[in-house]
Amino acid sequence: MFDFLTNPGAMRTANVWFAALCTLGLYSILYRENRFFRFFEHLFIGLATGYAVYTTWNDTLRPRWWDPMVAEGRWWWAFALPAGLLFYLIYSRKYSWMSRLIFAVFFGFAAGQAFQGFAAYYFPLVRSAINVPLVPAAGAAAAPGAYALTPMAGVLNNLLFLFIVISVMTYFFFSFEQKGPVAGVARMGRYLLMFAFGAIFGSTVMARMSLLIGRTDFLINDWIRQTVFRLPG
Amino acid sequence: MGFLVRLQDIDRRVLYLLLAVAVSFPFLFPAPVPDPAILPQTQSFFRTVEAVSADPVRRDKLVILSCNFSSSTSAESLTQTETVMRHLMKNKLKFAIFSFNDPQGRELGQLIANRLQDEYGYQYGRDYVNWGFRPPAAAVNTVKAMVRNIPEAIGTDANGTRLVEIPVMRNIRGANDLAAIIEITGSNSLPVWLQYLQRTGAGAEPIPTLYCPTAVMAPEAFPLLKSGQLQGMLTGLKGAIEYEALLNVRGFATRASASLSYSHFLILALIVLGNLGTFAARAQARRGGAR
Repeated sequence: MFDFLTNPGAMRTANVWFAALCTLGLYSILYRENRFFRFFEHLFIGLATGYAVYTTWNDTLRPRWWDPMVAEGRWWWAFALPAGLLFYLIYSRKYSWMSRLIFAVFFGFAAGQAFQGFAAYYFPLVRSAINVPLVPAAGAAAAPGAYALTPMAGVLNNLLFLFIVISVMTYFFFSFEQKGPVAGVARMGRYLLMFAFGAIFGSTVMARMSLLIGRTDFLINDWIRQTVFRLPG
Repeated sequence: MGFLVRLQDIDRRVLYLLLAVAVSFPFLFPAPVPDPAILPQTQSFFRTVEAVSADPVRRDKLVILSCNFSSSTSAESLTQTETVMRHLMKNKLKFAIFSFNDPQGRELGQLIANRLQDEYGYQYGRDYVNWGFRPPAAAVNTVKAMVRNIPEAIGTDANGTRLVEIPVMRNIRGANDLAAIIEITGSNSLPVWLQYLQRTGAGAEPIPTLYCPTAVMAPEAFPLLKSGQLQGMLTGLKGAIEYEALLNVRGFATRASASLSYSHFLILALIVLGNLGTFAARAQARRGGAR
C-alpha cells in the first residue's frame, strides 16, 4: 500500500502536488480571508518551528552539550541546564528576581561585544564619509561598486556626496531652531531622504515581485507542465 | 475625467489578476530578452571570486558560504546561492555551507550543492562541507571563537562528523585560513561577519566579504561598498540575473528576467494611473466647490 514511499518518481510527484496545493492555499488570501488560507498558514508556521527545534537539537545541543555530558564524561555541562532555565523564572512573580542573575551575565557579555561591533562596523563608514577627496584618488574607479567616471564627473560626484551628507545631517540637527539658510539646507536634506526612500520602495517592489515570480515559475513549469502534463522541463 | 477618477476605486483583486498575467506571460510564451546591464557591484563580486581563484595561496583556503535565509525568500536567495556556488565549483574553490540566522538555510544550501556537485565533480567532505546551523543567540560567540579555532568553534558538521575528521577542513584553523566570506541572506545577519571576523586575519587586508541580500535590503548596503567593508554585492534577483550573464549560464534568474521587467512596467503604469486619478478627483472637487 505504501510502496510509493520508496519510489522516487512517485514521491516527487506527490511533493509537487502538495507544494502546489500549499501555494494556492496561501495565495487564496488575495481573494479574501478564508479557512483554507488559515490552515496552510498554520501548517507553514508549524513546519518551520518544528524544523528549527530539530536543527537546534541536532546541530547544536546534541553535539555541543548532550553528547559531551553523557558520552564523554563532561558532567559539569549539566550545570548549563539550571543556568539556562533561570531565564524562564521571569514568568514567576515569586522567583523572577533569580532570572536577573542570568540576564545580568548576558548583559555584560552583550555590552562588551556591542562595543567591539560598533567600532568595527561604523568607524570605517564614518571614515569613508569624511575622507572624500574633491578630486578622486587614482584607482577610485576600481573600488567595489564604483562606476567608471571621468575626472570631472568624479569631482561632481564627490561634491554631490558631500552636499547630501551635510544636508541630511542638518535635517537631523535638533539642538536649536532651524531658521534661515539652515532651514533651507534641512529642507533639502528631507527631500534627499525622500529620494532614498523612493529607491528603497523600488527595491521592495522588486523583492516582492521576485517572490511572486518564484512561485509562478513553480506553478507553471514544475506543476502544470512537468507534473500534470508530463512535458519536458 | 470620470474614468480617471474611477481608477482610484479599482478592486484590488483586479490588480492582483493583472499582476498574475504580467508575471505568467513570459513563462507561457518565452521570448528572447536582451542581455542585462551588469552593475559595478556585481562586476566587483565576480572579480573578487576570480581574484581568489587566481591567487595560489588564497585558493587553497576556505570560502564561507553563509546561507541565512529560509524558503520564503527562495526566489531571490536560492537563485543567488545557485549562481554563486556554480562560480565557486567552476573555479574549484573549497567552501563551507553555514547558517546561524535561519535553520532552513543549511538545508537549502545543501539542496543546491546536491544538484550541482555531479556537474562539477564535487564531493562532500573532499571539496565542501556543511557546518550546519547554530542558533542566532550563539552567532556572535561562535563567530568570535572562529577567529582562532574554527574546528573547535563549530565542532561537528550537519551530519554529526567532527570537523577535524573531514578532509576539506585539513589545514583550516582560524581566520587566516579563510579565502572569503559570502553572506546570502533575507535578514540582517551581515554585521556579525563585519564586526567580529572580517578584520581579524593576520594580513593588513580584511577577508574579502561578498553580500547577496534580498533586493529590499540592498540600498542600505551601498555605503558598505564605498567604505570597502564589502567587495561586491548581488542585488536580489536582479543581481542573480547579472551573475548568470557573467557566468554565461541560463538558469532560473535569466528565465525570470522578463517577468521581473513586465511586473515593474505594470507597477509603474498603475502608479501613474493612480496619480492621474488623484489629480482628476482634486480637479473635480475644485470645480464642484467653485459652483
